[in-house]
Amino acid sequence: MEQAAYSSSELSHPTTPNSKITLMPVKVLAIELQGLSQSYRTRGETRVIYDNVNFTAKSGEVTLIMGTSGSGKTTLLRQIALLDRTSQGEIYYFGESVAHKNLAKKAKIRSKQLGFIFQSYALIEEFSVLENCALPLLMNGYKKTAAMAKAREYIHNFIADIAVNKQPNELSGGEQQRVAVIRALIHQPGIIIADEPTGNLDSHNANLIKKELVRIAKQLGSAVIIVSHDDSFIECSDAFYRLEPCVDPQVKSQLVKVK
Amino acid sequence: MRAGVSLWLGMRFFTRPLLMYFSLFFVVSCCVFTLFLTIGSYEYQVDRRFASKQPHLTLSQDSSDSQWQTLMNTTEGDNLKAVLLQQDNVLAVSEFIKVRKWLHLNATTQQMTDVNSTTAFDKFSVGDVSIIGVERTIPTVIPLGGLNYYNAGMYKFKITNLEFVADWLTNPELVIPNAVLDASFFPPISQQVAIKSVSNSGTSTGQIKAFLNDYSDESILYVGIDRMQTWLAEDDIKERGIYITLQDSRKLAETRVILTGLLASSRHAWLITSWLDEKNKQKTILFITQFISYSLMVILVMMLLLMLILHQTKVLINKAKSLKIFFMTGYLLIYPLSTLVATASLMGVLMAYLFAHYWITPFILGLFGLVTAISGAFAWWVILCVVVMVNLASVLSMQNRLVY
Repeated sequence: MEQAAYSSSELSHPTTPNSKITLMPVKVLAIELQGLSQSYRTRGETRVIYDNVNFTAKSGEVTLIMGTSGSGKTTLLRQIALLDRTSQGEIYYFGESVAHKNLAKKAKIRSKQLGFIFQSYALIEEFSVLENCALPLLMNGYKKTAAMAKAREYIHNFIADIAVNKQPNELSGGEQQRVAVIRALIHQPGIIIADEPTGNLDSHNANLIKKELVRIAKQLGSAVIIVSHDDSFIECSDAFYRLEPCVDPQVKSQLVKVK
Repeated sequence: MRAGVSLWLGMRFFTRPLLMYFSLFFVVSCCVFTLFLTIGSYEYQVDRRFASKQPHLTLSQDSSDSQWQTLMNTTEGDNLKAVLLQQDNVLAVSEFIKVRKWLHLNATTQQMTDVNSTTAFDKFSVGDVSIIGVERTIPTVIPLGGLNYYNAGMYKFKITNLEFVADWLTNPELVIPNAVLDASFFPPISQQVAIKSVSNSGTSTGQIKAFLNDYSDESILYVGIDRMQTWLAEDDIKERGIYITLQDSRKLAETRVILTGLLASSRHAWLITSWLDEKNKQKTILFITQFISYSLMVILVMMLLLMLILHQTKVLINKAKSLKIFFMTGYLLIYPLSTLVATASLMGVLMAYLFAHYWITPFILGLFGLVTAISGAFAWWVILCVVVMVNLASVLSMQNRLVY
């Protein structure tokens, strides 16, 4: 475990209201998984998806996880994002064990430290572009007016061609994903989780998103974890893992560090 | 997240479902308040009306008015009264005439002896009134029991049984109204009110001695039978008979059997009824009303619970995509949504209470003459239990549905 690399200042994140964008000074360990396992029960039988997974992701770096369909990529990502329960193993966020915290604490950690980007964009249909972008700020204690002002500023700076009052269903796929990227980054999270972020986009929009995601994330110093089928992510990643079929017949997949 | 922002988001996202909670709670609470207030008032009225009556039996004949008059003007009528009076448990026998008329009553108050100044005011009342002319005997079917105090501004008046007895026997002009008439006039500022009645049979005058409260739901004026002719017209439908006032109401059934046996040998067909017959009838109606009302309330509550939980489940399923995003991004909706649901349901209850207070209560007052506080308390208890039950079910449903 590389906990010695952390400093107290690195554990806090610039997510409080009115804070300025601050860059992470050094590449610290943002996420560490130790001996993580996941299994599910079907027809009275327990099936192990992966066992004893060890993984690290550093801030300011892009970490890529690849694997075939059904290998457990999304399951691993959900576990990393504290959306699923962890029965075995440990998850550390900036050196702090988070896997066994209660539902409310996990939700608080997600709202403060995580930014999500999904293949399906995951924008809230009932909210406008502005409200979708302001949501993480509202969850982090911003007043409504301050959150809306900051969201407006981000939209103006990064996606100026998208009208703030439009509803998600009025936007193209590429536009929706760009809004989703802004929403994931606006509260300057320490960790950005992207599940097939370019899966539904054409090559032009995919390249645009890829570049923007990597550029902004590096600028903010966030740890970016990308799960994708897209080989083109390999060249822009700093670390690369692959979920491969496991040699143990009782276990479906194993995580192998490639780069 | 700030509590205000959290609630605003919940409100923004669940406006319609919250309106549904508000509306359904408003409707169901209105029903519960109405049913409880109605049942309570009806029950109280039935209990008090029959409790306050002097126990008595009513003897009547299915004959014409002239046949009755002929009977009572002969010795046969006098003999009958004498025989009845000799029976055990019979206290008094009084002939009566009952008629229902549309009257316009004008009342003028008069100051009593212990008040020096002579203030007075007029008041009138219009409506259908039962006038009962009763033979002046004591005890009478008119409820004269109890000691009555009346507050009139700075004065307090006391009316004793003795005054009633004395007046009833000696004052031929005395007219005694019941509670419904009492409500028609101002509360007494005097023990004596001079009245003038205008009806199609002419104008009658009399004196109302205080106000008696026998909780009857019909307006009744009791007058002496000897003064009844001033109130009657030829075409009035008159009910004639004899009140047999009893000593012990517990022996009512026994006395009734004895009198039935006694009258069986008579050449006339007599009908003996008791005010308890009416009470039993009212009690049966009350019981049926209670049964239907409580069943209706149970059905309403069950339907409310079912509708709200099904509606909530449907909404949570329909919005599941967005709710998953909320959950993933760290917004746990359970707490703000529970607060909003509780607030919406309580607002519905509060609005229903205000509606019941300003619209339903006056209606019930008009119907029964009183509204019992205990009915309101019961209604609140039931409604708050329903609020707690629905909200608990709602939270449990949310806990199952809002964690992805």
